[in-house]
Amino acid sequence: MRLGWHYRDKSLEPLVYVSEEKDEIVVHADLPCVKKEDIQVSVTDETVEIRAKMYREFRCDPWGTIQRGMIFQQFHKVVQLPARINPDLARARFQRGILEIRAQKKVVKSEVRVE
Amino acid sequence: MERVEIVETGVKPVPKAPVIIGFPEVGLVGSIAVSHTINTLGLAEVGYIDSEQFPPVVAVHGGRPKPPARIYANKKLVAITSEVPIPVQSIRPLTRSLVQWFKKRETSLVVILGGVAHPERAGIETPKVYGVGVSEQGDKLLGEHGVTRLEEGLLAGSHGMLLWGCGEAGVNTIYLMAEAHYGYPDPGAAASVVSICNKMLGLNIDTKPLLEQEEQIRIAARDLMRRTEQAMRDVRKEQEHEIPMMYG
Repeated sequence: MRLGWHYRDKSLEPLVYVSEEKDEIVVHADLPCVKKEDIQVSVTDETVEIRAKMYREFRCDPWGTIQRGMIFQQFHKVVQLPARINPDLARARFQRGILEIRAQKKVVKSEVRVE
Repeated sequence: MERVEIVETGVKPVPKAPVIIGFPEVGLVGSIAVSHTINTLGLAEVGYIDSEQFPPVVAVHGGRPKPPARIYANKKLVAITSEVPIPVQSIRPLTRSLVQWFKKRETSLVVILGGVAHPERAGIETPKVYGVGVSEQGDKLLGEHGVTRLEEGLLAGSHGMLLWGCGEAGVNTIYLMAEAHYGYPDPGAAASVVSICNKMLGLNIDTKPLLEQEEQIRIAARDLMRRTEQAMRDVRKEQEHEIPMMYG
């Protein structure tokens, strides 16, 4: 069962959109109730990991069964990228609650001889 | 053929009262706007919409099961919304049933509320509102309230089909669309369409709570947005941003 939240670490998964441009992969994540200084972004050549502490907790009361009474205080998600990227060239900005991460694609190019 | 039923359960809505309607679509603008209106005005639940093709989902409110697509009303206004996205195969049958119901009630005006995806929404302080009418009367209403008319374009999904269906049946209808995030719940955009509704319909709905509670609404509506994103893919919502080949 795939949930939008994690029971163990009491985190919410942010809404994330990944798009592939000519030279870049762009990841957008919706992070309400978060300040820029509380966002951590970690990048490998295949993934982007987003962690963000919320300045205001979110409670599910009185909604649901298992989720009722849970208190969420952070966002967490590991995003699988559609292409390999160069982690050293990734950059991020945060505007009106939307995190944007841009990363250059790793290009491996070889010449092929036509016979 | 699928049948969509409109079932009246409570006090019958006053004939001719205007209707506002918003289903889960871009930025959940319509759903948020109509839900906020229902809560602020304390509208009573007066009916629901059901179909065998709707997802097998039931809402529970106040400890009681309810169908997810419901109708609310007071003496001056009817409001219709859904807690689940409308499946693509149900859009045309839903349109037929709603239009029949509007005609039976001699609805004076239908106002569909929704969003239009803006790629740079994060940089917009106050979303602009676009509109489409089905008659000169509707066009005049849009003009009087500073709504930019959509002259040429495509509308994909339940709102667009409903607008067309109402027009064909002679039901005066307008569709208000605020610039919005495509895939994030957008209470700010909902506030923009509610502000226009306030002026058009003489309502007095305070939009400040939508802006003050914006972040909490964005968190609470995440899962509905995720499901709605699939529904928008099914109707190919991105067509609204294409340059159409046919015009006029």
